Parts: sequence; C-alpha cells; structure tokens
Amino acid sequence: MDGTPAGQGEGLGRLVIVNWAPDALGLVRALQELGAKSLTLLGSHRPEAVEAVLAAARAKGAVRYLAASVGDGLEAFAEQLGALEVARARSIIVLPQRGRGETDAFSRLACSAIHRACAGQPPRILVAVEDPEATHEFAGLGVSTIFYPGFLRAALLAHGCLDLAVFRFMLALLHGGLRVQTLPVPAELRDKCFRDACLAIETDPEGRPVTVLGLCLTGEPGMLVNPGPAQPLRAAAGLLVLTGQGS
Amino acid sequence: MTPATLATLATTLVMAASPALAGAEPVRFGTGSKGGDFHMLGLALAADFEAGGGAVQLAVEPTKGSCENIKRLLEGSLDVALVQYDVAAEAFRASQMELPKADGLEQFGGWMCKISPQQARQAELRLIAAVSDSAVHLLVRRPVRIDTIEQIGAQPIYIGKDGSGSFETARVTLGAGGRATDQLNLFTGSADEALHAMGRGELLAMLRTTSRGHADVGSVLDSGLAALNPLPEEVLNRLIDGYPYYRVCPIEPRHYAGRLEYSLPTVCVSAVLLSALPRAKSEDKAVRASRDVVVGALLDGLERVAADPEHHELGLELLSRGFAEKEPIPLHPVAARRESWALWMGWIELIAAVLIVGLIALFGRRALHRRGIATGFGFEGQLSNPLVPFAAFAVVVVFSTYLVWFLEHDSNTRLRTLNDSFWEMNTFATGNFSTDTLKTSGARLVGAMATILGLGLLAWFTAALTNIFAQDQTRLWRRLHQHFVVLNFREDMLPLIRLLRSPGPARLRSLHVVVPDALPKRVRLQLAKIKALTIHYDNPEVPENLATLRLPRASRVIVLGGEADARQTSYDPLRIARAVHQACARDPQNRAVQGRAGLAALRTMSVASSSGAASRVALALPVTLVETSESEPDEIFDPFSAWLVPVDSRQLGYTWLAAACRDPAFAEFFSGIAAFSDVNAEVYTIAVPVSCHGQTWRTLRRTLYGLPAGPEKTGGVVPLGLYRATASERQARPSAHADLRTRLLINPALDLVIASGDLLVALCEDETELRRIVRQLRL
Repeated sequence: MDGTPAGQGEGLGRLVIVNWAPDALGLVRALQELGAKSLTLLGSHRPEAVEAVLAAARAKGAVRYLAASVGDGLEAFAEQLGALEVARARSIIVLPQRGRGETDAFSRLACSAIHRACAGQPPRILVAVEDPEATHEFAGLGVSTIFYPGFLRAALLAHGCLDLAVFRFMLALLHGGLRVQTLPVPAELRDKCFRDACLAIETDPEGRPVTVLGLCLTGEPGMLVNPGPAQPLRAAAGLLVLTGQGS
Repeated sequence: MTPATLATLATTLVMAASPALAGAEPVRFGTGSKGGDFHMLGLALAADFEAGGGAVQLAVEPTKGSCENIKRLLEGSLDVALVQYDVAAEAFRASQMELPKADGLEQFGGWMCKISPQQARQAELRLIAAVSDSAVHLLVRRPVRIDTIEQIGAQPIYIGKDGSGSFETARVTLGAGGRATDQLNLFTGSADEALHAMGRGELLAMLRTTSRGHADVGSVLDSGLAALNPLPEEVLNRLIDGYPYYRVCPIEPRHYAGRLEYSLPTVCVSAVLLSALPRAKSEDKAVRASRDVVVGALLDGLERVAADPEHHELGLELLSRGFAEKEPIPLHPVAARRESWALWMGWIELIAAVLIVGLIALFGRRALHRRGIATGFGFEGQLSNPLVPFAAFAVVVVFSTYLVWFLEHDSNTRLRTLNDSFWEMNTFATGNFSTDTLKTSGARLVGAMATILGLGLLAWFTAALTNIFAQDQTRLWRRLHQHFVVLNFREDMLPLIRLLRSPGPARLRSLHVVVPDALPKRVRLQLAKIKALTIHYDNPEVPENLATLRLPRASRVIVLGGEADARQTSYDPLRIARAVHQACARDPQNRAVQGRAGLAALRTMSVASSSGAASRVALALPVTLVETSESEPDEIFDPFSAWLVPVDSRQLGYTWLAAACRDPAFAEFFSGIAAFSDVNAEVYTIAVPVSCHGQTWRTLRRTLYGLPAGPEKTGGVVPLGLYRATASERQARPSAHADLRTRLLINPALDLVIASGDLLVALCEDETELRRIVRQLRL
C-alpha cells in the first residue's frame, strides 16, 4: 500500500505565517517538528526584537522574519505579500494580531491582502480566530480552514473529563502518533462497498495494522467518516485511513 | 357522700320545710298501657319514693299512651305524665296559637292527638326531663324493599294503636311521604296480630316507634318475616322540616347485632316527663312551690332509677336539652336550675382539666429544658415542614367535623354520624363541596371557614413539598460524588462548560466551578444559568477552600491556567495542584485509610520537615488535568505525575495548526470527532463483551464489520483499537500520562488477544448506537 498524507506529496513545503509574534514560537517549533523546512514569518515586531527568539529555530531550518502587518495598510501589505510570492507557498497560517482592536477583523483584512496578492488563487489558508462567531466573515476569501483554539482547548479538556481513552486518542492525533491519510481505492474494490474495504485493508504494505475510517470524495463534502458498511466505493476518490499506533 | 345523696337530702329538707306538702294528695302520674315501658317506669319511681319515705307520693295511673296523657295533663286530671315529645311539643305549640274566632272551629284540633288550642291553653306545660329515646322502625315484609312511601300503595300497613304516640309519629311520617292515613289500608289489630298477618303475607309493612334494639323488633328480624327498611331521605328531610321535634338518627348494626349489616337512617323521638299546672293555679305561689318540690323529687327519683341496674332494661337516659332538633317546651324552673348548675360544673371541670394539662405541659417542658432537651417549636423553622400544614389541615377537618356534626346531626340526613360529617368536611376543606349539603347558617359558616383554611393549608403543604423536591434536586445537582471540578475558571473556557452539559451520559453530573475574583460578572451570570453547576467564589490555591469539594471522590479535576487581572494577580496552576494534593490529604476519605503519622506529616506546619513521611502516604487522588504553558514546562509537575496530566493547550493549538498544514484531512476529521455533534461520528469506548474475551483483535473487528446496519441506515461502527485494563499492563508507567499512553492501543496487532476489562475504542454515530451494535456481538 502506498500511503501518503492526504494532499501532501512533498512534505510541508514552504509555509508563511502572518501576524506572527515571539509568543507564537511554539508554532514554529511544531511546524519544524513535523518537517517544515522553510518558514516565512510576518509580524509587527521589529526584526531585531525577534532575532534572539528565532535563533534556536533557525538552527533547525530556514526561518525568515519580515516586519509587515496589515495595520500598515491593506494595499501595502498585499504588495509585500506579492513580493514574497506567497502564492507559491504550500500553506499560509494567519494568527490573531493582538493589540490592534478586534483581532479577527484584522485577520480578515490579512486574508483579503493574501487574496489580492495571489490574484484570487491563494494557496491553502488556515486562520486562527478568537471569536467563533467571526467565522462567516471569511467567506469568499479562499480560506480553507478556520481554527478556533479556544474550542480545541475546551474539547480536549471535556473529553479528558468524560473519557480518558478518547482524550489520549486525540492527543495521539495531535502529536502525530496517529495520522489520517488518503489511499487510492484498490481496483479490485471499486465495485464493492465500505465494509469490503474495511475487511480487505487490514495492514499497510509494511504489515502495520491500519483502520479504514471513511471515504474521500471529489466534491462536497470532502470526506465521509464512517459512512456505513453498505456505502459503495464507486464515487470515492480515495480511502481515509488511520495509521500509526498512537503511543 | 354522693351528689345524689346530697340532692335527696336537700329535697327532703325542702319538703320538710314546705307547708304546702303537709297532708298533700299523691301526685297523679300518667304512664301508659300496663306492662309497657312507661308504666314500668312509673311503678319504679313510685316504689323508689315509697322506699325513700318522703312526703311526695306517686299515684301511678295506667293510660292508653301519649294522647291520653297529654289530654289529661291539659284538663288537669294528671299532674305529671310521660308523653312522646312530638305529641307534647305539638300541644305546646297549640297553646301558643291564636284561638279560632268561629265557635264551630273550637271543637276541631288539627294538632297531634286532635288537641285544640282551647284545650292546650288549659294548662302550663313544663318539661322535667327527657327520659328515653325511640326510633321509627319501618319493617317491610321480605324480600320487598321500598324507596318511597308511594310504593306502599293500597297494601295493608300497621302503624300502631290510635291514640298512642307511635301511631301519631307514624301518621306524620307517612304524611311526610305524601300519604294521609285515611288514604292507606291500615291494619287494625294488635302488634302481635300484625306480625301474624305479615307471616301470612297479608301485611306489607309495620311502622313502629320504639327504642332501638327493642326485643320485639329483634324477634321480627329473627323470624325472617320482615327486614328493616331505611326511611327515604326526602321523607326524613320533610319530617324534620315540618316537625322539628324529632332528630335524624341512625339505627346501627350494634342495635340489632347480627341482624343488620349497615346503618339505616331514620328519625328518633324522645319520651319526656311533663309537668302540667292548670292555668287557674299557675299564679298561686304555694301551688308552684309544692310543684317545685315534686319536680325536684321526681328528678332525684329518675336519677336513682336510671342508676339502678334492676331498671336497666328501661333504657333511661336523662336529658334536659339536645334530644330534638327544636325543643319548644320550657324546662321546669327546678330542672332549669339543675341544668344550669350542671353546665357550670361542666365548665369548671373543663377549665380545671385544661389547667392541669397546661401545668403538666409547663412543668414537663421545664424538666426537659433542664435536661438539655430542646422543646421550642420554632415556627419560622417549621414553615418549610409539610407536616405542619398537614397536621393543621387534619385539625381543621376534625374540628369542623365535630362542629358541623354537633350543629346538624339531628336535622341533616347527610350528617347523621361523625363519619358522615368527617367525609363531608374533607370535601369542604379541599374545595369540592356542594352548596346544598349543609342546612343551617352556623354549619355553613363552619364549612366556609373549613374551605378557606383547608385550601390555604393545602397550598402551604404543596409549596412545602415542592420546596423539598427543589432542595433534593439542588442537592442532587450539588452532589459530591463522581463530580467534575473546574478550578481557576476563566472566560474563554465557557465552551468547556457547554460541552460538559451537551447531551450525553455526563450531562447531569454535578459540576463545581471555582472562579477567581477577576472573573467578570457577566461570565458569572452566564455560569449561574447553567443547570447542575455550582459556583464557588474561592481562592483555589488554599487547600482549606477546596476541602468542601470532596476532591478524592471527584470524577475529574481540571486546573486552568490563570489570566492576570487588573492587579496583575493570577493563580498559578502548580500552586493549585499542590492545594489539590493537600485538600485530598485532609479529606475524610483519606483520613480514614491513612495512619495518624502520615496525616500529621501532611498537616503539621513547622520550620523544617522530612519529606519521607509524606511520601509514604498513598492518597486517593482524582485524575487531574492541568493546563500548563510554555513558561511552566510539564516537568515541574513531575511530583504529581501519578495523578496529574499536564495539558499545554496553547502548544496543542499550534500543533493542531501544524498537523492541519501537513495533513489536509486531519483538520476536518479532528473537528468532527472533537465536536459533541449529532451529525457526525465520534470516538467512544465500550466494554468488550465477555463472549469476545480470548478472541483476537482481527476476529473482533471482522465481526463488527459484518454486523448489519442499524434500522435508520446510520453508519456502522469502525473499531479503532483497545483501551486496556490497568491490571493487564506489563510496562512500567511512571506517570498518569504514561499510563494513558500505554493503555491505549490504536491499530493493535491483529493477533492481539482481548482480555477481560478491555474497552473497545470505536468510531460511531453516538454512544447509544455503539451499545446497540456491540450487544449484537456473538462470537
């Protein structure tokens, strides 16, 4: 079985982080731990103020910092992004910009700037918001994932309260001990159903046990998790598989 | 010396002092037919007087009954006589009527026994005492039962001898039923002949006024010829309304033991001893004085005869009042004085009894108080006690029962007994009464008061019960067992509370949240609206503040990182973790299982202490999730690693973003399983059925995949792995975190053997669906 992370054939590639601040060094660390080789950080701090913070990170890979913020003006920021060729980045992460009014509003402006800089064809954009009610404001800006860290914290602790096994399962997913990957549907299973796929695919090519979680679809929704045993595989673009042991 | 003896002595002295009695004629005493109860009583009294040797002598005269007696009393040929009260009262009423102007009418008397007003005015009637009681008995030939007097029709009926009180009573009873005696086929003959006629089937019914339990009636019932029939209710009501000299009374089964199953409503009438003074002599003081002496002697004699066991069969019960619905004939002055005296004595006895009871209660309370036993009622403290309104309701019902019965039992057919009155007052006190139940104004007032008080008390009772239920529910919500505790709560963790209160088995688990002073009021108000959540305003770094949370019994404790407030003060998760440890050490649960030395080591504050003693103490501690930060690495929590799981939630957020960048499917999948939503599958655990123990993981997952889909064609189950029982672990686990890591096996080896206590970790629509599917497992 030729398993690869969903949509990812060449590692994390080049990543851009907007509104980065020294207190978000943990994000740089997390990305580098997952194999990010090239990071471009944009923030409102002066470069000399972050040099010391980034010294350790630079030892692990290329980390470039530029003082640029949408607070300086939308057009100016879009030009800066264009100059950085953010359209060629693998993903862009937009963090909340604190200390300048309503943070999520500035994140939306940053997304608008990215949209302009990429001429309407932005790469994958992930936005971290502080207020979940602001989610709908990002419509039409090419944002693929809106992340609400507050809910993640609450959900983790809630699962920790209710079921420690589920809590540990989620931690394993976060830490990379478990991975959700996409596999092509084997030709012999094309006319079969989800149950048949689950019964047929028990291990990866190395003989490590795996679990088929669901199906990847071409349109909306993008995936069907646990679609039911009778779900036909005909329309599936791939199989969603859980790999790893979790510990 | 008994009161009776004293009375006798007083009477003797009065008689001795009274010249009016010197050489007086014997008192002419009218009774009834020879052998009858009236005559027997007259003879008994005469014998008593003679035995007493007093100045008063009785000349007992047998008569034909009440009619003859009242007539002779009025015309002056008798001094005293026994008369049925209805006859006597009618005669008295006749005396108060205006005389007919037309001479022709003078000869006709429409009152009982055909007494005319002219006759009635000839003498002044006075009541000496009511001596016995009789009830109207309607005996009907078996198996006939009659509901109305109309049903008698033209069939023969026996109502006694004309001229007797029984006949007169039967006459008005039938009249109340709408039938005059001249319209009926009356049987003429004696009572014995009537019985024989009934045996031959020639007589339908007998209407007799006699004492309850009378032997003759008992014999009839024994013979099976006839059965007692209740008087129809409308007859009773009409009778009491038209002739209030009767009273409603029941014939009880005890009166005819073994022959009567149920109480029968009827009317009772008393036999009274009357004194008559011709109006011509009524102003003569000497005559009055001598009559007073006679009446006094008769009253004494009656008391003696009534108390004599030899005359028990006469059924004497001496009364001055309360023997009829209305009692128009005035009491003789001597009888009135005695009644008044008896009334005073009764009040004095009652007051004395109340005083004695009060003194006993007072001294008893003092004695209990001296012994330190609380005796105060504490009314305010009893407001929420439902027993108080319940008891008050019972008192209202009982009190009104007695009052209404007292007021109406003689006249209201629905309130013949205390039992009737009790159930009637129950309906009044609960507001379910009907307006025509009570007849008199007094009783209606009592009924209205019972309704007002009863409804108020019921409302109080209901409120007190509701309060108890609410308190119980609050107690349930605040229970300190398998509860969740969140320490150092902050605003951005409101989603945590919402998730813990989302539908699921943990929804009603009690949740205790300790909030810092810095938490905004609006957030506190939001928390206050959440069910089963208790807010504690305390410093979570102080172990004493956490003692009330019974942390060792908690299902989970969450320690959140602090947010600096305006004064730049915040609570530190590490210091809170220490407080949790200390609070657990001081918890009664741990006190019970720990040695004194170990606890002392934990409690004692001194300049220096050995950590050895404390470390030897194995405490019961809850699994605690602590939110850490970059500034406080996980390692600083190592001393608590056996029970504490550090969660660097900020860094986990960054990790999430990084993972989402790497695996595009991760974000959607993770969001789906993290959300407590109805529309997507989540991860759940469930005990592996016993039938699967010893089987391999491959067998289990294949079996699960092979199970049919649910009835609503929802997704099936995707088995992910196992959460192993602690006891089965072989690996060393230095911390709670490590314990979790080693116990959770996702994608386990296909040949892994499932052991007892293992939990299945699976992806499913919801927990109920997972249970349903697992129940179908048959290996």
